[in-house]
Amino acid sequence: MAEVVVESLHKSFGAVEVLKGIDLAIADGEMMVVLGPSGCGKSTLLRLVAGLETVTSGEIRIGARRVNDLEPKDRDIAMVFQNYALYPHMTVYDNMAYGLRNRRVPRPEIERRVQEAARILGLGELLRRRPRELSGGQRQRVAMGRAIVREPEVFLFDEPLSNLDAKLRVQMRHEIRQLQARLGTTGIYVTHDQVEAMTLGDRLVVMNEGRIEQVGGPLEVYERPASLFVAGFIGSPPMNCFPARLGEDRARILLDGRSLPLAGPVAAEAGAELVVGVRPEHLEPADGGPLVLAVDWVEILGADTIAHGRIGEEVRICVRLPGATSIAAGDRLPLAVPPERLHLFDPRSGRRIDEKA
Amino acid sequence: MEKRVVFRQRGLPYLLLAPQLAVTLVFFIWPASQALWQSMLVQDPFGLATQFVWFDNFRALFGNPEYTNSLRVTAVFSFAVAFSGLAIALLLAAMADFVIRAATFYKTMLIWPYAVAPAIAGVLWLFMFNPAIGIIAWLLGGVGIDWNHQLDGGQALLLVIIAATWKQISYNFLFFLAGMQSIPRSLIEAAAIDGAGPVKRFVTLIFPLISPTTFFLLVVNLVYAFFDTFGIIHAVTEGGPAQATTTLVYKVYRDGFIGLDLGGSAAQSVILMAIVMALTFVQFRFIERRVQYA
Ligand SMILES: Nc1ncnc2c1ncn2[C@@H]1O[C@H](COP(=O)(O)OP(=O)(O)O)[C@@H](O)[C@H]1O
Ligand SMILES: [Mg+2]
Repeated sequence: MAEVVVESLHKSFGAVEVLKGIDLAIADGEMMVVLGPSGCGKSTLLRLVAGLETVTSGEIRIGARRVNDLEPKDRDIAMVFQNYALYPHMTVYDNMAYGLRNRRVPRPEIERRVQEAARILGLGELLRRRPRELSGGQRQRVAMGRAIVREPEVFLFDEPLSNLDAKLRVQMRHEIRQLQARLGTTGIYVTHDQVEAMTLGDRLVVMNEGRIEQVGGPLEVYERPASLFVAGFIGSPPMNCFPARLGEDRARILLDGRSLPLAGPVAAEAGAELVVGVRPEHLEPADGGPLVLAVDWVEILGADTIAHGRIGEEVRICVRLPGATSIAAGDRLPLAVPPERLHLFDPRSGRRIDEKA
Repeated sequence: MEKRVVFRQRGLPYLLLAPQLAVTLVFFIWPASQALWQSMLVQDPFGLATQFVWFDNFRALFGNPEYTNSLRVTAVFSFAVAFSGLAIALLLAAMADFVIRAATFYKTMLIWPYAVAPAIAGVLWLFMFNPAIGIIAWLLGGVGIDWNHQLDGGQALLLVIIAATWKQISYNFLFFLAGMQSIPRSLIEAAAIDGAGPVKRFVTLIFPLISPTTFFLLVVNLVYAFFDTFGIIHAVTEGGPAQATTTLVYKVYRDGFIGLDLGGSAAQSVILMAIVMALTFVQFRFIERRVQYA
């Protein structure tokens, strides 16, 4: 078992800087999910930890060892690739045994570990088959099996579920989570799917353009997004954001002459320009509520209803209401927000503005 | 999936095929059937009398030590050319695949020999190995090897093997490299994480995965060594000394066009035809078994 520490890690491909200083500490046995839009450098980060790319500057440690200059095989990691990367000419058994044979593990021990992995993953019947004779979900399991027989210090996953259909994805997500928790192996899991990230991770790292936006538990990231980017990236539909001004007492915001109370005074100048964020599910219909939504279209999803429209002249927002409601386009819907559900961001830096300490 | 074009007029498809059919007929089917016919004839030296002798020409061939010698020379030559051509190209491709960095430069350099005409390639090597003025012959002399392929049959055979192999390496190299680069990068990376070094990866992963390419090239190279090396042999040794480098194809030419034994020569080309048909069959029969990568 081992912790993984990344310190001021930079990576450039030629003139293009892909990672711009990553600092991250992953605890022993923790499942850390790296979440971000496509192209933000998630895979590059993972491949640097695996040793498949060379570090431009910075340091990576696994356990107590600095691994910057170690070959992938000497880092005691196992990786599950997006396309599974199974060896097409080998049987399922040989795919799993390959890494052990290369390490000169005694034959009975290989047999024991492969059989054990096959049992855990339900691959017992398939050991003599070749990858092309397996379904997507089975290939995925073999790729998992190949990782666990190695009994590594760290599992690395690069979007391992994105080639599966939606139903299988939910199931495999659950299996991966259980397996990792049971083995107690440190895991780094890269994905661009926020649902996967929220359900799988002990903690999340939200990345954007080669930088870390926020590190935190899934709920923390949802409830206290550290930046406008995180606020917009996590949650579906995304958080409503609109400009406003901070009141003189710094405990209320002013929006088109209306005033919304905050939970307490915040750490910004009185009268400062702000961006206010509020999640669609946190707006509540309330007679005489301070925000009036002029509804212009409604999506009825069964379990809930999403009403889109505008407040004031130009601010577009949407509201998520539980169940099927009778709201229709053209309605005017008064809304209230619990003060603790309002998020404030600095419009220039995009960072969160917190309550005054 | 089946791709089909439907023509309204029934004559049009035949009209469109006509040029190709005419070429095949005139330059292929017609001479081939002529050869088949001629292989059963015997002509007197002046071409005045011709006699139909059934398979006498073939019988005479297999009783002739010169012909069986030529069979042996062809076997040695072909396998040496095919084997060394494949082995060297495989090594070069593995290295080019491994470096990645200046790959384009290496590739360009390695493709050049293929653009050289066979006779030119032959002359090139002939100069270098010329017993009197050749640079390689001189170097060999320096290490105590007395090089004279004009006298030594073994050396002559070696020389044509080198020239023929050199010319084919580019072709093999291209196919091997393409085969290696079509292996998904993540497979190689997975093997690297699984503790396999470059040599082990090559033996356990890359080589098995490019085996369809290797098999294809084996057949192509055998066909090349059998049939396409006439120019090189003609330029370098003219089949000598003492028929040490007379392959089957070269013997067809010598017996037919120099010895003017048209019947015997035709019988030899019929045998060659059978060989090339067999190789083509093997090619089509087994080459379809491709390895799936996903
Ligand atoms: N080997 C490479 N050479 C050049 N650019 C690369 C290479 N690998 C990745 N990149 C670039 O780095 C950026 C981040 O890539 P990646 O880490 O794969 O993103 P993600 O996994 O988050 O989608 C992309 O813009 C990509 O084009
Ligand atoms: Mg990626």
